[in-house]
Amino acid sequence: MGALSDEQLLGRFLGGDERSFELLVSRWQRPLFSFACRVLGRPEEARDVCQEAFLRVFSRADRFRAGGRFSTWLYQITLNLCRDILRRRQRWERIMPDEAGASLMEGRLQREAASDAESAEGVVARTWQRLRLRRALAAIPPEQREVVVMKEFQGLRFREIAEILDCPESTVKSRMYYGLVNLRSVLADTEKAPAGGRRTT
Amino acid sequence: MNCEDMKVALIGLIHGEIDEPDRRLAEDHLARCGICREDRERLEEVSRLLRSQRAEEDAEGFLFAGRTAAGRAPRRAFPVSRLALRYAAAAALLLVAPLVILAAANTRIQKDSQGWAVQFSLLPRAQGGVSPGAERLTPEEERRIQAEIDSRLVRHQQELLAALDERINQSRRLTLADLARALATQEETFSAGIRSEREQSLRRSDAVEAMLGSELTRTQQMLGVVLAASQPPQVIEQ
Repeated sequence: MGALSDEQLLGRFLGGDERSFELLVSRWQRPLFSFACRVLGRPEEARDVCQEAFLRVFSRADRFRAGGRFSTWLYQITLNLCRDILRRRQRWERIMPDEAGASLMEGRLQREAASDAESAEGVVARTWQRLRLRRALAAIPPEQREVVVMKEFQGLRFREIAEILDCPESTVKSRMYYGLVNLRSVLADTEKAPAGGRRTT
Repeated sequence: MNCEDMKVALIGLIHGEIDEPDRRLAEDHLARCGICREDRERLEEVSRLLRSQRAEEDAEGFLFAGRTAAGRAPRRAFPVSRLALRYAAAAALLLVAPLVILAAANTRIQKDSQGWAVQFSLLPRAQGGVSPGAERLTPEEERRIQAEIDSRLVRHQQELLAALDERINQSRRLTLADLARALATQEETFSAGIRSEREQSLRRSDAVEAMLGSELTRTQQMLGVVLAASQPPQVIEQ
């Protein structure tokens, strides 16, 4: 059963086998969630996006282009949903400056850190580092973030990313370049510790 | 290749996704251009940072537990669940243990004319000390040996299973005992709580009753006074 490709599973689903769809979901829900989470920066929105993405796969499975790759299609659907949310958020944030998202992430980080058994100092350093990276990721332009996430966190190849984004591979690499450069400069800006200070070990 | 072209080429180089001709052109440029060499180092640094972050979070299962590379099978050393691994280990143990025991029981070390000899065999040695394999076994013997192996294997598996069962039962009993104890303590605290609650409320209602009683007497007294004041004197005399 595990040997079946995504495309084969989708074919079976179209043939009326709902179990295949469940398999697709269980195979993809985690990578998809992590992807949406990093693009959006908020787990609760990422969960909605994943649910919606699978719903779309469910209801539009017949529109899947034969010969194409299921993962490409799924990433495209998810990415479009993420972009919708980001656009809406942008409009909203023009009216209401938002803190909730960041603080939510932070709270989670601290909770996770608190449950850790290792030294408080190490936890603080690691948590801070993580937070810094997330903030930096959230700070760069979305089209660069998409590429960085797909490359460094999802481990996709540039060819696949180009296919998902429907643009030339050189464009993807160029976005990657500026994404990394921007990340670097944002990280350099936040080198200093937050209020309270980071102790280096 | 100029420095502007190098941006795309550097990314390809760093991630190992670049055509061979482009790679050569880029390496040539890098050999000549210090600025692009620095650029590469900086890019590599950020890329490493991101990847180490990903590895760290993967290892911890933090937030994105079980994220997968390229979105396919989960990135684990073994693409099976831990439980499955455990079962597999138990099964392997069950299979290997009897073999080891058989081997130990049937290995013989002896000194003969040529020096020390170790005879190692999984099967009981054939009569007459002939080394295994030198003698053709009759089908009858083969069947017997096979049956012997089978029965030993089965016996051994049964013993191991029984031991396992015993362990499971033991831990189950322990767990049950723990639960029962926890439940008893819970119950005790609960009933103690209820008792003290009841006592308190009884005490409180006693106090309220006493208060009410005294209030009542006072009211009656006041009523008496009021009545006395409002009635003509002869009524009181009666």
